[in-house]
Amino acid sequence: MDITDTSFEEIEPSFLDSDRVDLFSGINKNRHNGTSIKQELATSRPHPTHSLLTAPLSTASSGRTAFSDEIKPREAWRNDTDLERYNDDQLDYETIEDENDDDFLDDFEEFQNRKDNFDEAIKTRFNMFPKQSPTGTLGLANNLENNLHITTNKNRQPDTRRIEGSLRQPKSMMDLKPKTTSTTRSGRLKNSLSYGNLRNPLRHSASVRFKKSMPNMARGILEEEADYNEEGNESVIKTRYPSDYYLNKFGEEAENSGDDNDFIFDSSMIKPQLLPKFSKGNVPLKLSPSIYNIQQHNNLLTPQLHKRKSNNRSHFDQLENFRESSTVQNSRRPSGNLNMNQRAATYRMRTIKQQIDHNTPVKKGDMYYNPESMKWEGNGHVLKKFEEIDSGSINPLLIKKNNAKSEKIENVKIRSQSRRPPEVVNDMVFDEKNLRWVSLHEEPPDPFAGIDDIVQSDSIDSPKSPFLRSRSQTKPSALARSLSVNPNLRKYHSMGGMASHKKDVERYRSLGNNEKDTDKLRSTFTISSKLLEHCYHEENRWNKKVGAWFLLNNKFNTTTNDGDDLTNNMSMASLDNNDYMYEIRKMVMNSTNN
Amino acid sequence: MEHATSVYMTLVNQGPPSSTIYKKIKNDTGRTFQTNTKFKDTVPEDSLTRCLSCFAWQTQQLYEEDPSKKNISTYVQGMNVLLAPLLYSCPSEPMAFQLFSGLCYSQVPTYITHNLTGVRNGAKLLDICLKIIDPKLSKFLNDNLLTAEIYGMPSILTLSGCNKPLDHVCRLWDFMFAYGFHMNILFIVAMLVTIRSKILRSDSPMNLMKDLPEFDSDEIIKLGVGFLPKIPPKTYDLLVKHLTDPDLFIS
Repeated sequence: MDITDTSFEEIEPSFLDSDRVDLFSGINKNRHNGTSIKQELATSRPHPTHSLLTAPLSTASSGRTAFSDEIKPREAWRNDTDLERYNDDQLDYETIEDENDDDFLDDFEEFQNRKDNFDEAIKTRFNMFPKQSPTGTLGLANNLENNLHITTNKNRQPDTRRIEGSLRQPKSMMDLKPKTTSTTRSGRLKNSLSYGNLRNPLRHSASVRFKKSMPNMARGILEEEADYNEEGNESVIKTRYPSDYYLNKFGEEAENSGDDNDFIFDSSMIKPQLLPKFSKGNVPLKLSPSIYNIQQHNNLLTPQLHKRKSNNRSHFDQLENFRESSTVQNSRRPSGNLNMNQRAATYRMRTIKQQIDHNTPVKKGDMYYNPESMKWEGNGHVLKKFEEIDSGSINPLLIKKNNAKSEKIENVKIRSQSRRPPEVVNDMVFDEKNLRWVSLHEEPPDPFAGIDDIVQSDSIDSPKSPFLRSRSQTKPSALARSLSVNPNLRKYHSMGGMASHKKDVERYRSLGNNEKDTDKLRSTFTISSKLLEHCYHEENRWNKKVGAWFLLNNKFNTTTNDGDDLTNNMSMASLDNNDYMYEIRKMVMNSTNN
Repeated sequence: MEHATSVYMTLVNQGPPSSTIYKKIKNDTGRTFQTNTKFKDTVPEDSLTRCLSCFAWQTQQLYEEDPSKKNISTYVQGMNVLLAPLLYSCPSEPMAFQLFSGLCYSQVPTYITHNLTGVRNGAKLLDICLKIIDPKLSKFLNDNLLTAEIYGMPSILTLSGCNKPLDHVCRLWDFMFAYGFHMNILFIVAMLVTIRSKILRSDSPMNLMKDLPEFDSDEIIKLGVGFLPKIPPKTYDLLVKHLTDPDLFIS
């Protein structure tokens, strides 16, 4: 583009200077380095009177469009003559500001790249004159022509085409006239590149052989036209091919033009822009879904649809293509218009249907769509897991956890081996024993902190007499009662208890020469539960059998509890009650006396 | 016998007594009726040890309660023999301990003192009774310088428990529990009388009297009860009192 721009800057004054010969020769010497093209243009200009129109037309339009932001900089280096020329440019620009930029660039390229064929370039330029100049005699002539032939415009179309096709005849004033007659239509189509490509036989001389493809195109166009006329739904026509829409537009002209044998359609030129590529593999299947099983014919399933989704098109286009490829329309199409042939009828689509209906074969991986039940199937095996749970004798989860806990208790080794790590969430760990969350780092506050152990006797008796728990068959502890009666006993027990429990180990060690003796000593003063049970049993048996025969020390300890055997026995010893010892003497003496 | 087990367990949980006491206990328990297999099968040594240890704890408890009872020893040699018939006959260990405790503290408290005053008085009473009942045998023993303190101490201290057989000892004890353990002196006299001929014929009566032959409880009881009419009332009072009166001194 830089080359084009620089050349443009140089060419632009050349056109201006060419209009004013004196400027070109002397005043603007700083532009004398202009190429020879300037002179050639100036000399080869066929109509000097048109130079005022043509030169500003091209330069102004190009200058404003390509360098619209550089108007100020241009003033910097512009001299008086340039300023004057600039005014002219400004004026011309206003008149033709609606001109297409691409049009100009196209024409300019012709100047630049085809210097050896100026005649052709000038011809092209001349074709633009009638429509691009609203003023002047030619413009008036064009308006007159339009007013006269506005009603018969369509009928004159073939003539216009025929004349445009003969543009290759240069410098013919006769050519100018028909050009004025085809102002609006040719001007509109001229802005399209495709128009120029289609209509220029010199550039695309090989397009003639594409006539062979015309019948197919024509047939398709006719079909589309028929559908359009029949249903009046333009969207349906669009769905055939995205290019059909444009072809249809073009086809209107072709239809209006009637049997225009000169019409040349080059599909290869349209295809890159408008016609989507339909490769051979992308041709939609024309099988009815009722004739195959979706589960058994994997090659007939829908992966082709998924391929199309990968194309860089809009979502709308994808949907449209899917609708085309669907074979539903084929089977659902009615007999069709009698005027259309059978093939056209097969492509007809009447209504827009839901994309996934009961006839749409859809499969994704192991899942496939069942049109009858309107459900996705193929993952039924997932439910088998739940069926096994329901049918099997598996305990509920909560009980399962308890079982696991009981197993742990039963088997210590297994518990230690299979012990799972405690559940930890952030800084909290779950204490399964107490069923509570405990902090990992902070010690829980002791609720009994600062409270002394007041009841020492209980705390001492309980550890040193684990058998007290088993005294369920008797009354409450006799020792406790004796202690309640006799505070001295309490003192003794407390001392003895303290000495026993805390000094047991030391005592055992002092008594035992070695570890074996210590263990034996421990076993000596450890009464098994079985022996203890036997003791209680025999005690109760004695009390039940002969307990009533003994009224221990009733006459001495009437105020005390009868269960205080220890004190009673000791009191008996102190009282020295030995009257019964004389009984035997009395009996013997009485017997001997008798 | 009520609460015997609980009391006993409380004492057992105190563990062994002091090392000196416990060593004495262990020294005697192993020799208790060593040759009596039936006793060994019935009464384990640990039972003797536990009961004697508990008695030691209980005696210490008694010290705290009544300082006047400090003459009662925590353990004296011979207690194991006193305990053995009880453990042998009682259905449970706590009951045996209860009987043993009652026997020591109530029946023969003077026998378990540190100086064995009751045993000494009992030996003197044995000499008196033997002299009253069998003057010939008494004279024979005196001639052989065999006083009761020499030959009669084990039987007096153990309440004839050291004699054999054990089952007859238990019967004898059963009688004495009913009529008093002062009868033990008369029963010892009865035992000597039964072997009187042997003693009188023996050149070394001490060997014969140290290990008395097996006796028959029924015969001993009959003889002993039969001696009662010959025993004067004062002597009988001494028999009764010497068991419990620590201040009694018989010259």
